[in-house]
Amino acid sequence: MKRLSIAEALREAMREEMQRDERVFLLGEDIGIPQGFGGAFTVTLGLSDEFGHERVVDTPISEKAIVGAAVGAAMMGMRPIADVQYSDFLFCAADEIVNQAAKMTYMSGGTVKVPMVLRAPVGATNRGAQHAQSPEGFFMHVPGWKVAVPATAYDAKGLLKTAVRDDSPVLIFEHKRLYGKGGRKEAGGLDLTSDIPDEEYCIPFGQAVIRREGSDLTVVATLLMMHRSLAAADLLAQEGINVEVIDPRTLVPFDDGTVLASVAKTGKLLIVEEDNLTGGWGAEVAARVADAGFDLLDAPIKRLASYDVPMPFAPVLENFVVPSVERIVEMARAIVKGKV
Amino acid sequence: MAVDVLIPNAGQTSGEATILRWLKKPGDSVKIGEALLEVETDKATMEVEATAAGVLQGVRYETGAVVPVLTAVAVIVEAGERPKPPARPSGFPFKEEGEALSPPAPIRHARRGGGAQPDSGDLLAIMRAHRPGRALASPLARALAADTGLALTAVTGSGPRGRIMKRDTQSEAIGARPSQPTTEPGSRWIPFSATRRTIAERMAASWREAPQVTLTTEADAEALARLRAQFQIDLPDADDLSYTDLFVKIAAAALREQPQLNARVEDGGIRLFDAIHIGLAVDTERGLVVPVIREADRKGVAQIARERRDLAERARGGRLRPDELSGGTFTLTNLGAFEIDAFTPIVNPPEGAVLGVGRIVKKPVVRDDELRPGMTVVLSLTFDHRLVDGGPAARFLQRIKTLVEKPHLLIA
Repeated sequence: MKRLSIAEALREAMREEMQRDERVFLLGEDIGIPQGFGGAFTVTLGLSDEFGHERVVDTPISEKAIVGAAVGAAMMGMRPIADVQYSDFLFCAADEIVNQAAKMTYMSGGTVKVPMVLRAPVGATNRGAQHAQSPEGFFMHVPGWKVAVPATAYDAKGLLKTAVRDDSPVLIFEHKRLYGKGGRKEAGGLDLTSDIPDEEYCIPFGQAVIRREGSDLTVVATLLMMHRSLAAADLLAQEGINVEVIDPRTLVPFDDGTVLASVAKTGKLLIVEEDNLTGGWGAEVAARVADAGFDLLDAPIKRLASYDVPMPFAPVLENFVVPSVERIVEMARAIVKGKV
Repeated sequence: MAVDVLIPNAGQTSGEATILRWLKKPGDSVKIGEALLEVETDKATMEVEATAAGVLQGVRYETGAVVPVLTAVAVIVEAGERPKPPARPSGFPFKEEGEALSPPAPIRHARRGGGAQPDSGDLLAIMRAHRPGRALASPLARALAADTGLALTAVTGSGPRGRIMKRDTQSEAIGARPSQPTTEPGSRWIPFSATRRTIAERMAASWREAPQVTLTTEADAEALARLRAQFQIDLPDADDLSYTDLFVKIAAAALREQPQLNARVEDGGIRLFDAIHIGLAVDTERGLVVPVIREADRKGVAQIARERRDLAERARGGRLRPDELSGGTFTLTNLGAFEIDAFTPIVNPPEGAVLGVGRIVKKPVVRDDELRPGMTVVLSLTFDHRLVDGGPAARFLQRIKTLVEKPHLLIA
């Protein structure tokens, strides 16, 4: 048993998978250069020393090349883990992601598999509009991809190991503010490390976690918004409002059942996402609950998300655009008190 | 292949069954036809039998649980087969193959989701467990029921899983289900006509929503009779000027002086109208219709008579425009022609009051301590007690009585 951050847990997952299966290799920008950081966020730090540059491949600055190479390698039987530094750059490789990786298995009648993992950091961190997006919803929309959104180190390790072993392409969205050990104000001052068991474990996709149980309102949130929702739940508990916080952990497949069972209990649903409101994953979840849970609802399904603007560079404005603990508290209170 | 153990639908009206006891435990081998559990419905107690041979697993409801019919309460798996995960979270800690049970994560990790899609029966069972007494009703049906003061618990839903929908609140309001008439020997069932349906819904709404009180008084109608006769002589085209026309004028004049009843209850408050529009109850072959004479307080009786004649004729021909049937602020209903003395009219929603006029009849009256022949009329005022109390309503009716007895005050 040890306590690891998300970055460390991801690193450990990759190390274990590379040790277990020689087909697993990493590729990305600056992930293995000598004296480098181990990618943009230290996740691959030290792995090139351990496994060599044949299995920790530094690439040119071309996401199209990174993802294209990963798709090709996966089709030929390898199990690549590709890293794009910022999820914003996934769009540079849109053809490889949407038209190639997602479709090959289906177009080949199941004879070709694309067992690749694509890691993409998300979240607004004072880096401006092109380094700030949370585009999980885009890729949830594309059939063929599985989408994981680990908010804790424990989940990050278990989900990444499952992703490597999955024969479908899997996108893992990691939040930049959650990589570290925590305690930072931006992350809400939380301890972001997890106890990681010594024995090996994988986490099945499509199983949400109820992070906090409550009877008045169901909140579904991922990544940083999940942590902010927990902080909001603490504040709301002081005024007697008991919020149930659900972390879906994977968007594809999505654990509709856990959310519906919770809404059956509370009758009220708030979805909190960092992506901007229109067409986000929260819209899909809202639609599903409105459909399968119509009779369970006691209030309109509400969504809190970033406003529909490119992320501003000014920190004050960024803080305004991204849902804060205060906004979550206000919205949750309004829903529970029947004001919306 | 796992086979669900379902609560059978044995025609119970409640759609639910209570689990009395389990006759088999998880892990027990069962044969086809063997009794697994005993359930009680509102009709009978019965045993639920195995529909497959194998091992009983995944028992999800304890003794005493009330579950909707067709709910899967357990599964029968083949010997050696792993049971499918339960379709809803079954408590903490949650252990499953593929994930070693870890010590609790530092971030609160209250409970693991099951990952499987529960069926709607499961969800409703959870809802009932946590929110007992909550009716299954669509948002629109809830709003309609709230508007009309309808208790959802008294309504049977006709939608999926018994959901109360808009149509159910309406059929409740009119006290009939046109879609499912029962046959009864020696009787016949006639569906509502459109007019009848409207009348039924409006009258039922009035009865439900407005606490109504009726005041009656007898007025001396001799002066009014004289006035009517004089008008018939002096006014061209007024040979059919009726008592109704005079009462429209009198009611409008009284409302102008005491406008509290020219009002309706609306959104938890009272809406007082500036204009006085008097609805006139007209009996037609199709049923009751109430065309409206607008700004009646500003019109003379001759004009009121002309409009009344036109509206009544077209009402009987079914040729009134919708705008002529709406917007009334007060209604007048005159049953004098049918030799009715007094009655308790019902408020025409959303209005706040209605004046019922009885027959004008020769009767012995006491005047100046002498018994002599006279003419009287009984006036019945029904008002919505939410709007005003008995005192103001009584003063209003008293003013009408005064105007009936001294109609010259209309031009005072």
